[in-house]
Amino acid sequence: MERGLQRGPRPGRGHKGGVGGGGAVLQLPACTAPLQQSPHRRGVSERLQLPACAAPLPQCTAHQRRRGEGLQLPVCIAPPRPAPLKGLRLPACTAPGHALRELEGAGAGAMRLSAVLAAARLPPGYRHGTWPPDTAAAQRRNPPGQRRRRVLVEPIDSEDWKVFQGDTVQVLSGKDAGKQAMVTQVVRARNWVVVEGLNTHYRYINRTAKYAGTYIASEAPLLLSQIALVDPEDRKPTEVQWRYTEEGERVRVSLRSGRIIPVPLQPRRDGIVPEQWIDGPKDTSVEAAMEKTYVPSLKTFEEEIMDAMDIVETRKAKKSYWY
Amino acid sequence: MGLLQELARGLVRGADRMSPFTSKRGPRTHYKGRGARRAGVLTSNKKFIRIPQMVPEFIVPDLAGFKLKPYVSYRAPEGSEPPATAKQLFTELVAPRIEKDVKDGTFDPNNLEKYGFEPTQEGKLFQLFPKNYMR
Repeated sequence: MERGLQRGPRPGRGHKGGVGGGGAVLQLPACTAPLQQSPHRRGVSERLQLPACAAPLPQCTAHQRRRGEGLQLPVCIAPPRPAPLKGLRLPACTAPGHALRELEGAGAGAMRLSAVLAAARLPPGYRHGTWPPDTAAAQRRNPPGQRRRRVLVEPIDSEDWKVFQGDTVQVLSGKDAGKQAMVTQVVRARNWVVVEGLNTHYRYINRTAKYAGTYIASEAPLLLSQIALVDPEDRKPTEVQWRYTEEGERVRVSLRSGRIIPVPLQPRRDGIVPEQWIDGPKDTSVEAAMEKTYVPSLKTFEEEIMDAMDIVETRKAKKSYWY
Repeated sequence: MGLLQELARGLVRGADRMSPFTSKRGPRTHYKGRGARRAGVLTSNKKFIRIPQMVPEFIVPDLAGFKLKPYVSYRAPEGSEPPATAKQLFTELVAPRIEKDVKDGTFDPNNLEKYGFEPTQEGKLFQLFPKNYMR
């Protein structure tokens, strides 16, 4: 059936859980509202009055043509045409596991020791903590040869992962239930999310023989089932689904209001977000770095400097040989 | 055992035998240089005579109005220029002059020095091969 072919992953869940109320037209907020209702619902004949907004409203032309309705169906679950080929990599995630797989797949030849260590696979029963596996803390807690009881982790596809560093989430259960904060760390291996300032316990750090230590609050990780992404408009927790816009971009869409939740800029491995970088006193500015000042000449660098500074060298070096 | 475990076990059990023994290691009395050349001559009296010509001198041009700094901003995009090659240098600098001379009829294949050809590196202060300067 045509319908079955065009749907994306898990079509049933999207249609059942996504649509909010009944057949009544929902009140759209002032901002971009790509999707209000499922395109496949019967009885939706009224044209949605969408407010004027600067953002373009993508249309799902495939479904429109098929159903023969004049609905504006902005965001489609079906992948864009042409359908992605099998084996096509979706937007690469920054998780170390995927980097390792890419390295191994490349089959790099003579790698340095550090690169070999970075590409080495973790042991099968590795117990992930909140530190990356190559840090000293992780190596102290997981010495080689250690075997611990396995923790049960609900398997989630890397393509279905919805929470990223920098997202605003609300805690649903626990000590700080109902509070919202930003995600500072994501540990995909255990479905963990560390939220800034929430779910904290207190401990002493930098303890020495003479000093009792500083009393600080440290956040404990939360499972994905204990948090929910926050809709930017009404600041309430929502369910989120991955969908494709008409341009073919894969975005997260809030199922209650239809708003697209943009993925925040992901930092690199060293924690730097290039778009938010502020130049220091020793940093060359972007304009100065991109300026093309090279004038090709047949002289070597040293000869050019001699000409520029009027250095005259008449002495000749003694002849030397090397074998 | 896996590679990571083997390496870690080796590091835990003893010192790293394969790392180079530099001047930073060993006791205080251990003296070892890092490959710098002597800037003089050691005589039979064990006296060291410094030769000023062997002492390196840094020639630094005036950096007033120089905009480049030690580091590059993270916001700068990757460069779009391909690495320079000898062929590119030739086509940019030498080929137009040769073409012009060929058109004028003054091209002399025995006198290529005027386009920058160097038949031998003898007598040059900065020889390209074998390289006799430090960069």
